[in-house]
Amino acid sequence: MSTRQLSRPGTALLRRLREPVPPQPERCAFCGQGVPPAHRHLVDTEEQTLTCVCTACGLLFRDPGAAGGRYRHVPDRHLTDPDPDPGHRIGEQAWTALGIPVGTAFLFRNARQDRLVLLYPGPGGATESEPDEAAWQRALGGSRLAAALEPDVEALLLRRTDTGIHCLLVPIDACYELVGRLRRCWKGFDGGAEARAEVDAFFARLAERARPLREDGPR
Amino acid sequence: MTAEQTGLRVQEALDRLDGLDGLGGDGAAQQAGEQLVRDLMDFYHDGLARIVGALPAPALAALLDDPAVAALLVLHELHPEDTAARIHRALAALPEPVEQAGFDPATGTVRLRRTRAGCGCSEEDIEAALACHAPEVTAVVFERGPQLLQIGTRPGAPAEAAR
Repeated sequence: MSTRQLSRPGTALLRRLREPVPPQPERCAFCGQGVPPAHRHLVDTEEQTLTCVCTACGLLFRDPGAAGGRYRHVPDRHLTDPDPDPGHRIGEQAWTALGIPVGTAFLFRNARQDRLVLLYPGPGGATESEPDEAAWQRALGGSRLAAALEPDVEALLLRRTDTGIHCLLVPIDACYELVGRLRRCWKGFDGGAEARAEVDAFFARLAERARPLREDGPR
Repeated sequence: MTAEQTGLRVQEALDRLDGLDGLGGDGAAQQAGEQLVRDLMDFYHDGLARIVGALPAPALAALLDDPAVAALLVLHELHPEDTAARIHRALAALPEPVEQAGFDPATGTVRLRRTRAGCGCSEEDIEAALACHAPEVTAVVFERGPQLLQIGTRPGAPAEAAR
């Protein structure tokens, strides 16, 4: 009696290529090195996309003028204004004036187009709307967080809960992470319980990282 | 060309792409090559699935002994028969009767019993037939019956005759 092992590397290859692609490890867009799950991003201001970057390449783009200003390094700071002066507290009226139909949204300034962009997460990803500039100015324009906001790379993340409207200044990649997370679990019109739990957990993590805004301003 | 030969040629091409990446390459060229193959196979898969679905069962059955058709349907998981039936089909096509004595899906091992002593077809022929119709078979065990005859002295012959 004899056992013969059959080795068919060609057939095995074709069968492997019929299977779904395994998730590829993320790589630095500039040097091709694999990057860990928690890595930094650059905003490509021409394509309006986020680009993964390794620590070493990221350092090259810290200088705002690098690569003709096309790529901007996304900072790591999370800020909260613990004591907004009453004139700049965001109220229900301001929320309505901004025309945000859902409980969560984020705002950033597009420097190239010199306009404000308002996005809110939903089942199909982020939905964009162009807020009324005057309404924005009334609601948030004078706040200290808005003054500290870096264009293109940071966003004001807004959330309405039973206790009021909360605002954090966060890196823009955090907002896209939230959009990605919600897209996976969104159900029905308002996202459902799972999406709400996801937002709760995400906000709790961000709030924990957030440091109070200091008087000396940004960085 | 068999699925195995096709796969080996694809592998050669992917290896050449990997060479083009150069030392310290990130494998991007090879990944792009794999994606090409995936995309074409996906495209053919969709059309093939429609054809298989639209064919009347007897018309499809008549095609299953054709190695080119069988290998393609197996690769695309569109073959209407299960593994045991396909092993049977592979063995039935051989010029010599070979019995299936069992298949273990966990190990991919098939046990075969040859009823005649090694004439008609080689073990390579049997393996090639299995590769085409049932590539999930990864090992073959040949059980051999008592085929070897004892060589002895003729009964009653005088033991000392030769001396």
